[in-house]
Formats: sequence, C-alpha cells, structure tokens
Amino acid sequence: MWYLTRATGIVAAVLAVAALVWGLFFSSRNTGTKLKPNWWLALHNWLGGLTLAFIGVHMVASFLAGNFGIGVKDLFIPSGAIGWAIGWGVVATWMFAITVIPSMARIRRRLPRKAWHAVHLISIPAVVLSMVHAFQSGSDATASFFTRGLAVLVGISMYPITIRLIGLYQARRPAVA
Amino acid sequence: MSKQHSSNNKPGGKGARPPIDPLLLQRLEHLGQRRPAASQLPPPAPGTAATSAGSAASAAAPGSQEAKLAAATARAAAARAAKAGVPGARPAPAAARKGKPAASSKVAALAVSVASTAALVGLFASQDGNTSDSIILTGGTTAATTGITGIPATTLTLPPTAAPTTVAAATGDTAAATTAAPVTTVAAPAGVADGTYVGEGSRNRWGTVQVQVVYAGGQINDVQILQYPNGDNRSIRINQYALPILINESIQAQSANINGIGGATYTSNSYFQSLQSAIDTAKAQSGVAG
Repeated sequence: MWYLTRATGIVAAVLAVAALVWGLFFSSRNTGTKLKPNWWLALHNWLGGLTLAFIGVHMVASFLAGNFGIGVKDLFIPSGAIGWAIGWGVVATWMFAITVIPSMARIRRRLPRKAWHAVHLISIPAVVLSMVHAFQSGSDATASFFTRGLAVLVGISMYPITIRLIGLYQARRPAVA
Repeated sequence: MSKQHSSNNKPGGKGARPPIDPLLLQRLEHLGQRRPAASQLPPPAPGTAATSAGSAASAAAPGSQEAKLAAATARAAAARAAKAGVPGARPAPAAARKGKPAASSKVAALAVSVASTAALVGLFASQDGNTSDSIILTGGTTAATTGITGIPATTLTLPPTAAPTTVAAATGDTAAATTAAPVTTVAAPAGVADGTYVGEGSRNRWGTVQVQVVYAGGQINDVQILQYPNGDNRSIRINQYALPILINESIQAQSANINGIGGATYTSNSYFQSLQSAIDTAKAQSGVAG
C-alpha cells in the first residue's frame, strides 16, 4: 500500500500538470489545426477527472497503509496535528475537487461563466500546492527521477502559461486602428 | 443585396445590426449561388463524388476561384473515396466522432496512467528489496554494517561475566573506577554478557522504532537503530537529527532513562521503549536481576 500511495501520488501530480497544460493550450486557442478544439477540451476534462480519481486512490492507499497515523478525519480536514506536509495535500485535493466538479456539464450549465472561470482558476494554485505536498512529505522528493521529472513538468507548463499570458495581454491592449 | 444591407442598418432602427464586411457578404452570396447546384448532385459515394467534382473542376474556367474551389472539392472527395476503398479502413461516421471526441486518447491516457502506477510500484518494491536501510545510525565505536535480516535475534560471543562495571570504567578512567566503585550513581547493568540484544519494535503514528544494544565488558557500548520512521522526508530529517543524540545520551547514561528530544517526541518515546526492551532482554539472558 505504501508503494501504491507513492505511485498514485506521482501519477496524480503528472496528470494534474497535463490537465493544466491542456487547459491552457485550449484557452489560449493554441490547439493547432490538426486536432479539433473539442478534442482538446474533451481530453482536458478527462485528464482533470482522472487526476481526481488518482488522488482518491492515493488517499485511500495512504489510509490503508496504516503506518502514517492518518485517520479518516485527516484525509479530509487539513490540520497541523498530523503535519502540514500532509495538510497541504488535503487542501490541494479540495481545490481540485472544487475545480473539477463544477466543470461537469450539468453543473456548469447552471453557473455563470465568470463564476465558473473564477472557480476553474483555482486549479493553478492547486497544482502548486500539490507540488509543495510532494516535496514536503514525499519520500521520493530527493530522488533524482523526481526532481528531474518535476523540472521537465515545470518546463512543459511554462510554454502554455507564457502563451496564455501573452494572449491575455494582447486581448486587454487597446486595438490600434 | 446592397439595398437590403443598408435597410438592415438604419440608425436607431429596431433591429439595428453591425455592418457586414463586404468581402464576407460577397462570399456568402457566392455560397448561396452555389448551394442549389450542389443540392442537385447525388449524395457523395466512393468513386462517383470524385468524378463529379472532377468534372465540375474541368468545366470551370481555368485559374478562376470556382475552378480552384472545385479542384479542392475534387481532391477531398478523392481522398474520401480512397479511404473508403482501402480494406480495413474505418469509415467512422462523423456523428459518432462528434459524440465522443478523443475517445482513443482518453483510453490511452488511462492506460498510460495505470501502467505508470504499476511500473512505479514495481520500481519502489525492487528498490526496497535491493537496499537495506535497517541500520543507518550508530552511536558507538562499532559501526553497524549488516542489515536487519543478517542479524540473529541475540548474538552472544562471550560467556556471562560477573564483574561489575561503572561508568567511569567505561570512559577509561580506571583510577576513578576503583575509587568510585562503591558510590556509582549511574545504574549500569552489571554482569550483562557481551553481545548484541535486539529490543522490541515500538510503533508510533509515524512508524516503528527498533534498536539493538551492544554490550561489551558489561557496558552498553553501542546502540544501533534497526528501524525508524522513514515513510516521508520530514520523518527522515527528524529522526536523523534526533536518533544520534538519543544514542549518545543512552550510552552515556547506560540506560534508557534519558531526556527526550524536542520535536521528536514520538521517536523519543519509541526509542526509550525499544531500548528498555533490549536492556531487559540482555539482563534476562545474562541472569542479572533488574
């Protein structure tokens, strides 16, 4: 169970970054011509849901592993009693849930777009917090594959983030006649 | 058409719309003219669509926009016909593709995720099998080099000796030992046979602490850590800081009655319990009364 906890945590982190990258490519309209935008959107949604599913497995496995002293309460309520290394993970989980669940089609239709978008942006600090959680409590934080992998993920994320920010800047700049 | 355009954009009119780009309007008119002709064509079928579009292309004046459009249509129809004609090619109706976009990519993402998890689990299991982190800390002169699996429960190398010892003797001050022997204050377990005694593992919420104590000359010569909470980085940092201090204190005190380390309360308590268990085992096996 301990191995499963670590493995699902790492995979969930990768999936979260992948979902973020897909979303940023989609929102910046940088999806190319080969694949349709709905392909990007569908895969972005899927990756987000998959992230939440793997986080669920990660939580259950960490509870069943037993030797961390994590109770059911600790899985859902962040507190310093068990250490903020785990607490940040709990906070990130809630943020992911808040991001993913309103994006389900039935709920999203009832939400104003601005409200949904504001909620959706929570995913960015959620990814950052999940990385903090991984570094503080992860046994693999000092492993070379983890640090190198994280560097690769950050590098990959930087490209769509930059494109998105440039797009936002250009959209807000007054149009030249 | 231009009249309609201007009538739709009356200033202050009820249905006022923004002006339509003339180029777009021209394009729409062009498409509108083409639509009736296209609707008269039979539904595209492999082979026939390519020929009909190809004939349209040949009928149009070479170099004109219509000719280019017809040529592009002919190429697309030919590609569709070729795809349909290939044995084993999946025709995949457009409606089905629209209903479940990225279906294969989703399956691939799920498969890669599950496979990655399985691979990581296997990697972690193999890493733990190859490396032994059982004994990592030692406070005495005898460095531990063997893993927990190689150590017998109790290793006795010498028969029990009855010579009582003192802390002063342990520090090498023999003169002080001879003079101060009657007033020894530290409770050194006298008469314990030389050897290594394994204490019981003491479990806390972060993991298990298990120690073994090495007796030499009736003294606690070393305390070695067999297990400690190393499930996360924080635990590793805390224990690697606290355990050497606890080991040194217990060697100096020759007992488990030492102060705990702030910030490592769980480890300290588990260390005391495991060390006391090892000392009790040593005394019991050496026939020394508590």
